[in-house]
Amino acid sequence: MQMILFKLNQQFYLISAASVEEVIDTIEITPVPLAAKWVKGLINLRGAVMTVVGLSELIGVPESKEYKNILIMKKDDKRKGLLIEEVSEILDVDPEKVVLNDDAKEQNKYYSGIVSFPDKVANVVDVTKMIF
Amino acid sequence: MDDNSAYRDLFFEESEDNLQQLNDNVLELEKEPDNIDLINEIFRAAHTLKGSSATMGYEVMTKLTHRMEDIFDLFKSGKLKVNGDHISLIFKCLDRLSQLLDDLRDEKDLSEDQIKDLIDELNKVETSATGKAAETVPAAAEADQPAAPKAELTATFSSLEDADVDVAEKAKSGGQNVFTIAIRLDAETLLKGPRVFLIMQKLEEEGDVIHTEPTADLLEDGKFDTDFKLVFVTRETQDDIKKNVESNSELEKAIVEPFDAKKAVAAQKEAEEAAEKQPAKTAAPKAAAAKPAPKKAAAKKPAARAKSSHHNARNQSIRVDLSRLDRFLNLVSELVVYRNQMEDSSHRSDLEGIRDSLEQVSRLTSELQDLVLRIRMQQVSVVFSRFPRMIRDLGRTLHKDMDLVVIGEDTELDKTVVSELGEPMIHMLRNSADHGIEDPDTREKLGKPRKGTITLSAYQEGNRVIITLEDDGKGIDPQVIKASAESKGINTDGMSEDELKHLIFHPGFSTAKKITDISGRGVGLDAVQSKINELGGSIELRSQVNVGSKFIIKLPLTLSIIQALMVKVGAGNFAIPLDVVERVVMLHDEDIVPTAKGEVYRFQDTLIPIVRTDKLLNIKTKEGAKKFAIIVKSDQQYFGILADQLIGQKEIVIKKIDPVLQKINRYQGATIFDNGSIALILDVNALCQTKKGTKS
Repeated sequence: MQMILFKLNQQFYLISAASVEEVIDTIEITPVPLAAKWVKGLINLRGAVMTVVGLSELIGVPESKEYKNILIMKKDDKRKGLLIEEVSEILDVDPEKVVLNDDAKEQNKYYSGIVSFPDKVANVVDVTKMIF
Repeated sequence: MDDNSAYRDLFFEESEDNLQQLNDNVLELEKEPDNIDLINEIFRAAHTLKGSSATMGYEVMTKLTHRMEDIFDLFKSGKLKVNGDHISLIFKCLDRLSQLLDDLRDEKDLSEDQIKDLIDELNKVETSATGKAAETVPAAAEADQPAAPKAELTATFSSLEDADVDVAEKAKSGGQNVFTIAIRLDAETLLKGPRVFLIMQKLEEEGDVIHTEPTADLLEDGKFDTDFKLVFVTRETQDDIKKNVESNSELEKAIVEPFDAKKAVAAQKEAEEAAEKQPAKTAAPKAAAAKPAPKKAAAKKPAARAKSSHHNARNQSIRVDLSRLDRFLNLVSELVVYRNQMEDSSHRSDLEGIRDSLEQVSRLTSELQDLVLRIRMQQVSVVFSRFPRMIRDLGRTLHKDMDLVVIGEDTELDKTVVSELGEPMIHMLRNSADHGIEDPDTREKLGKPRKGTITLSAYQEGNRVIITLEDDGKGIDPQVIKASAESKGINTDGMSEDELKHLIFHPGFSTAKKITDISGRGVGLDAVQSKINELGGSIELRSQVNVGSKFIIKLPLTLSIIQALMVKVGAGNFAIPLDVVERVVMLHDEDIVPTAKGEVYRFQDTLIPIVRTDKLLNIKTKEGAKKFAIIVKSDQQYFGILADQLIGQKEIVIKKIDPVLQKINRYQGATIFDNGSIALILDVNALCQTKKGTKS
């Protein structure tokens, strides 16, 4: 399973590459007054106006110092940007290595599991349901 | 998907057209019952509809159309007089047909039950006219039973000519064999013509076909039920020929027997005599027997498909005038020329050349823009065409006499607007018919013609299209509204007559004294107004008691490109659609007068409410700086919308925004500046209405 490994506030996260259409460098985001807190604003992606969602606001973690990348998420024919700190690499993750979240805890609906690497641990996030 | 899928869309489109034409013509027929040309035209449209649905294997549709056609036939022959009830029945059939069409589009199965009631009614009418029904209604259970047995396949001919017999006899004496071959194709055979062609071709490899029944032309066009017969001259034996014939696929049954001229001719004579005696009898069972057969097959297929596919999207196609498309192609090819020129100049670093071709490119792109918008345009007749029929039906149910006059139905609007316009228009027409037009007796007492008139007109005015709906009914009485409003707990203190009249746009307001089936079912004119606003339009009302009411709807010509005033509020850029802007004034904080009802500004001797955009949108701005008030008109009232800075007037392309952001109800959309940055388009109506809401 191809997954994108990215950083957000010194933490590592994984997201299924299937839900991501492309990764772009952060561009000017126009804020939308009165919008929900997790809506960072609008970007102009090659002539199309797209909503950008801040991942840190969405999953409730402290904001990062900088945001270098936007993941363009897709679902059917809808697109939305997801603002993250920085994409590290694209990995092939064995689905069996994903330790699924303990349902009993149910601490956060955005995390679907955890993957351990020799040098780090990454949370697997699934936000498609939440942002579309 | 089966082979038919490509034709399905075409079929739906065509059938819709045919139904619309039938609707129009039948409506006309009611006015001119003796117009033979009209009946003929109706006949043709019905026939096409029947033919195409039969081709697609939609038996239920074919059947209903067929029975309807019988009625038209009676009209045509004068056996049945055209009257309102018959017309209503025909309309019911047409409605049912569109319903069937919708079901088919959603890949639902059709069943005979869906048309049983109408067939009953049609039979009744037909029986009354001719004394007998041509076809009995099939029991509902019959759908599950095997198809009615077909007439036996026989190898006899009905139109054998002497010359053919002669040829056969000669061939026989020449040592050749002559066979009669009767073939019944499988009922599910889709391409009957080509199938026959293949069978014939195979046979002709081994001999000659000297006679066919039906004629060869009809056979190759597939214009026959399932049976056909031929006389075949060959040197091969009966068994060989039988094998040859049976090697074809899609055959249900085939008979090969030696040709016996005497027997054939005798049988023919017998058949002729029988036919002369009872012409009706032979024809009727044949038609009846042939029909139910393909039904099951047709029903099965959609079922299988429905499982795999999702709900079918509505036909989102648009018809484009070919000349526009040609122009489009020309412009694009011109564009390609200049692009190449530009590339060439760029290679040679010829700045002058680049500038020249760029000029052409920019001219071409604006022409293209214009053209694409025009291609998206649709005539309002798409929506209007069903209204005359609706008013007629309403007239009958309400026992009122009224006429709908439609003017300017060729006015064009953006497709999106046109397709969204239907619902609000229907609502308003119903209102006019129900509440506006009085019953004939009342009208007479008031000195008006017994027949009420509703006028629907559309015309273009600059960048907008104006649609007016006018009736000569009783008009809107402010006092009635007032009483009604007060009984509903709406405060009417200090309202002018005009304001009272506008209460009909108030949510949940219905002026009907009793709620009828036609209108006044809770969703009132407020829904109409919000729909029109959603489309970027506005609605106005003029009404005079006992003279009539007039609704004026103003709609933007297109939804995607508008003129806008670009402003800055705090650090944000915003666009305000220019069509609502009345004037822009510069003011200082001291010009804004605080009152008990909120802040106002003196504009043209009246005090208008001030909308503090920054506060409404929660934007930080510098205090005390000079401001601009954009005076806009919303719902017959002026408002001053405050902005910090004016950027200028621009033609902007409206981009849709996320539903999540639409819910904020402050923005119509967003647009992209020349430099690539984004500005939000303010929803002025929503802003002003919110302002109003907070005030009271």
